[in-house]
Order: sequence, then C-alpha cells, then structure tokens
Amino acid sequence: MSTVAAHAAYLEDIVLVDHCLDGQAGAARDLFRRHRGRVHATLYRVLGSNRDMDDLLQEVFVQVFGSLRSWRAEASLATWIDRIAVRVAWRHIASRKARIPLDLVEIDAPSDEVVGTRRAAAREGVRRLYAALDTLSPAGRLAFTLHEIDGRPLAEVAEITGASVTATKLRVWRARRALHALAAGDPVLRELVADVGGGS
Amino acid sequence: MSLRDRVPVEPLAEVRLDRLEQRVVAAAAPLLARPRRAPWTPWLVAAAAAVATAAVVVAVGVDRHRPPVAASAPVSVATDAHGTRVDLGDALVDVGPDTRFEVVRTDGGIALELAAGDVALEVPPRAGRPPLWVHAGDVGVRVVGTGFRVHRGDRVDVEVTHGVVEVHRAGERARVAGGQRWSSSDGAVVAVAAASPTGPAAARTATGATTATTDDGTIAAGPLSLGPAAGAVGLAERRAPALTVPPAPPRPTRPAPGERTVRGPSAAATPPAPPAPPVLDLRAELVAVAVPGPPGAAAGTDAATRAAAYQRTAATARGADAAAALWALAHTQAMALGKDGEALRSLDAYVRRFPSGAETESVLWLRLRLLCRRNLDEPCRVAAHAYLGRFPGGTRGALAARVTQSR
Repeated sequence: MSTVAAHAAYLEDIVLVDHCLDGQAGAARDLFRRHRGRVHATLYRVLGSNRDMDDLLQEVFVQVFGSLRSWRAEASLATWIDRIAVRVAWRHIASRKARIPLDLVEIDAPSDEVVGTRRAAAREGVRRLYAALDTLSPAGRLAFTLHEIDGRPLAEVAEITGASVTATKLRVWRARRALHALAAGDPVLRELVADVGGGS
Repeated sequence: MSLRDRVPVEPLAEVRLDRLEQRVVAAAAPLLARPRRAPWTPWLVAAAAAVATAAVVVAVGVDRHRPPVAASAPVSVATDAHGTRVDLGDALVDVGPDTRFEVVRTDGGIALELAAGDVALEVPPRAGRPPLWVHAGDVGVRVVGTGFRVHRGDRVDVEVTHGVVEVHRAGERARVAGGQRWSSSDGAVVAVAAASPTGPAAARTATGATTATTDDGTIAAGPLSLGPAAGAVGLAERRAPALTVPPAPPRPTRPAPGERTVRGPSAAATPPAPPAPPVLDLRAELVAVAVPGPPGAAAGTDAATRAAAYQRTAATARGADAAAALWALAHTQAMALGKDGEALRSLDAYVRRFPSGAETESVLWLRLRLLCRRNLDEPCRVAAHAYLGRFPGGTRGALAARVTQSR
C-alpha cells in the first residue's frame, strides 16, 4: 500500500473506531466487514481449513471490540487486529484442535466442483502440507505460514507475533528445514514446497 | 508459483457470514457500551481522505445538548490584552487576547466551553479515548485529532490548520481543508493566510497574563498546565512544558462573577530584573549557531506550508526516508513557519521513532535552541544535557555545556 493510501486508511480507522466507541449504529458492523476478509484469509492460511472458522472469527472480533479502547493508533488498526487474530490462532494450534482429518478436503470442497486430476493433486498437496505443518511448534507454524503462505514480510510477522525479527527468521528457517526433510519422502509434498527457500 | 498462490483461501458461504456478523455485532454491543450521553443533532462531519494532509479529523455540528456535568471541578481561563498558551494534557491551546473559556472533564473526556475570543488547539489522535469537544454557543466541534482554531464573537468561525473536515449545517455540507475557514455567518469556506495576523499565536507575547480559578479558589498565574493528575501519562509528560512567562504589570481587568483575577505584582513591587547580559549573551550565542536545514528547504510562507503538508505525509512511512521527512518537517515548522510548539512535537517524535537517526544531532540542537529561546530554565537545561550526552564535542557541545551550568 502506498504511503498516501496508508494515510487515508489510517484516517478512516480513527473515525471508525471513534464511531464504535460512541455507540453509533452500524459502526461495529462496518468495522467487522472492513477487516473480516483479511482476518479470515490469515486464519485460513495458518490453519489450512475453515473448520471452526466461525468460532475463531467470532473470538477474534469479540476480543477486538472488548479491547478497542486500548488502541492508541500507534500501529495501524489492521496490524492491531492481526495481532489479536494471531494470538487466537496460536491458542487454537496449541490446543491441538488444528489437526486436519483426512476427509476434510471433501467437506470443504464446493458441491459443484469438478474434481479434475490436476486440481485433486493440488488439494492433496495442500492437505499434506498442513499435515506436515501440524508437526511444527505453534510458534514455528505461525512464523512460517504468516511469512511463506500469507506473504507477510519478516518484520511484519515479528511485529504481529510479538517476537524479534531474528527469532522469527530462525523459526521460519527451521520450519523450512523440517518441511523439506518431510518432503524428501513425499513427492506430492516435495512438488508443493519446491519453491520454498530450501533447507539452508 | 508461490506457496501463497498454491493455497487458495476457501471462502465462507454468505449465509454463514451473515450469521457470524449478527453474532459478532450482538456481542460487541455490551462491550462498547458507555454511560448514556446526551443526544446531539447529527451534523456529523465525515473525515475526507484528502491524503495530502496530516492524519486529522474534526467533526463540527450543532450541539443542542451539553455533555454530562463535569466529573471534576471546572477550570476557568481568561486572558487580558495578551494571549498565552495552556497545556491541558490532552491538547495544547494557544489562547488569544480577551478570551474566556472553561475546561470541563467528564469520564475521561474533556470539553472546552468557549465564551468569547480565540483558541487554537493542537490535539493528537484521541483513538480509544472519549472525544475532546470545543463548544462555542450552539456550535460544537468534536475532535479526534487535529490542528484547528475556533473563534466566537458575533459569529462562530472554524479554521483548520491541518486536516480536512466536512461541515454540515441546515442540510448543507461544506468541505474545509487546512488553510481554510468556515463561518457560521454565511456558511462559506474561504482560504486564509497560512499565518493569521490576528490568530492567538501572533498575539501571544512574553508578557501575557493568564488567570485560572477552580471551585476551591486555587489560583494560578502565568503558564498553565491543566493536565490530568500528576503521574498520568499524557501530552504534558511527552512534550516540552509551556514556556515560562514572567508576571505582567497590573491591568484594569473586570473579573466575571465567581472568578478572581490574579494580577501581576504592581510596578513598585516588581522585583529587579535578574542580571541580563550573561543570559542574553548565551542565548544570542545559541541562535548564532546555524541549524543546517534539509536540502531544498522551502522559502516563503505558502511554499513552507505546502512543504510541511508533504513532509508530514512522508514522515508517516518507515525507515531513513521517514526520518529525513520528519526532520525536514520540524525544520520547516520552526524556521520557516515560526511554529515552535509544532516543531518541538515533531522533534520529540523524531527522537522517539528514530533514536539513532542520521539527523539526530541536528534534531537535538534545534530542540535545544527552541527550548532555550525564551529562557534558560529547567527544560532548556535538560535539552542541553540531552544534546551534550550524545554530542559532547565541537562548538555546539561547548555551548551546550555552558547552558547546563547557567542559572
């Protein structure tokens, strides 16, 4: 986002938060709609499925509204909300609810999807990727998924996970190494992670 | 193809999103609930994203109902023919001559009731805190974070120094940007000079007298700091305190009922002025040491105002470019626009955000100069220590050392 666009978003955030705290009708709904897509995408990329997504999103935004008065506008509202989302995701992972059942691909698939060979292979690769991520520590999984899958720079990942950039780099590097080790014996997974900075 | 492209996000069904939204909004309502406030006519000003200017918002409306009664004793402020500056903790207020207003605090919020005269406010973003209000008759200005001025006389004028507002009144809407003024007399928006010759800042002199009374009769004269209780983290602690103002000679001011006016000591009782030459010499020496400006420093008020707007925007980024922009902004504010207060805030922001920035020496030196401009007092000496601690050598270091030893 350009500096000018970021500035405009910052202005809008301030007004929206103020309206929410003033109890203005529709403000809470507007805030939810503005940020739900990004939060959903982040949680999905960390967890790998929409299982429990309703509960997780609700938990994130309940915490957002419950602590909205503490937002001091020193970080963008999006960053502040993302920190809450990451904490919720971390607790979810740590509670071991994020293990993906083998049949979850079919549950998530749209009913009218044409299951071609190529697409089926891609989905199987994603399933195996998240099964492999399930073997990582919560902190390592978060760092890796936020950086490699959600596409956030390391500094941003460090900021929203509350870790140093150095620690974040190390976690990502270890996660890559672990994935490549697992992929050595799995050609489907290997093809998927082939472009991930490898094992070094 | 990146891993991100290989992991497409499965969208949630619309019906599922709608149900989720209903649950979230229902859960949010009690979390956001506040003590009931008096309703106000919704002349709400929307924040226009005119992004060439700083991150500020002002809502101007016709407020037919006052906010709840103050939770703390109100403070009355009145000036005579000279203005002054008041630090509310939540905002810095430049008070013009012959101005009277009252400060009321309620549940963490703050309202300034302007009875007459001019006030110019610099208010940082409120985000999360109850808003700051300025009331002038039946016009209410709800502040999120901005730089603006309100005048109340025969009419109400709102002048925005930086930011963009929309003014709604009687079904009409007007957009007012930094450098423009809205007036209740005709609802027109006109451009104003960057430095108003009649603004409170221009009227403020070193001999301004200010009175303040509280319900318990406490009286203060001179520079005012009306911030929250000591120990609270607020603007007063992060910014340079108001300048020390020597007592003024007595003036025939008629106090309002219930208000007592403190006059400065009579001419006969005025203590002899302290020996001037050493202080003046040292201050003159400080001014004589040039403050190298950023490349392409703007000349002329209009150009400087535009440059400051651009620099303010650029300073919100990150990295070395943002540091350079923030230094350039402070330099423009101090050297080209004569806005010492704004410059000090920019300099303090630089020190916080870029403690090892390339412009740190210039930043700390300009800060020292500004704080020592009026008097070699404690804030001035503290600034000198700060400079000396980082840059002890050279002509500046020697000067800073002498400032730390001045009394």
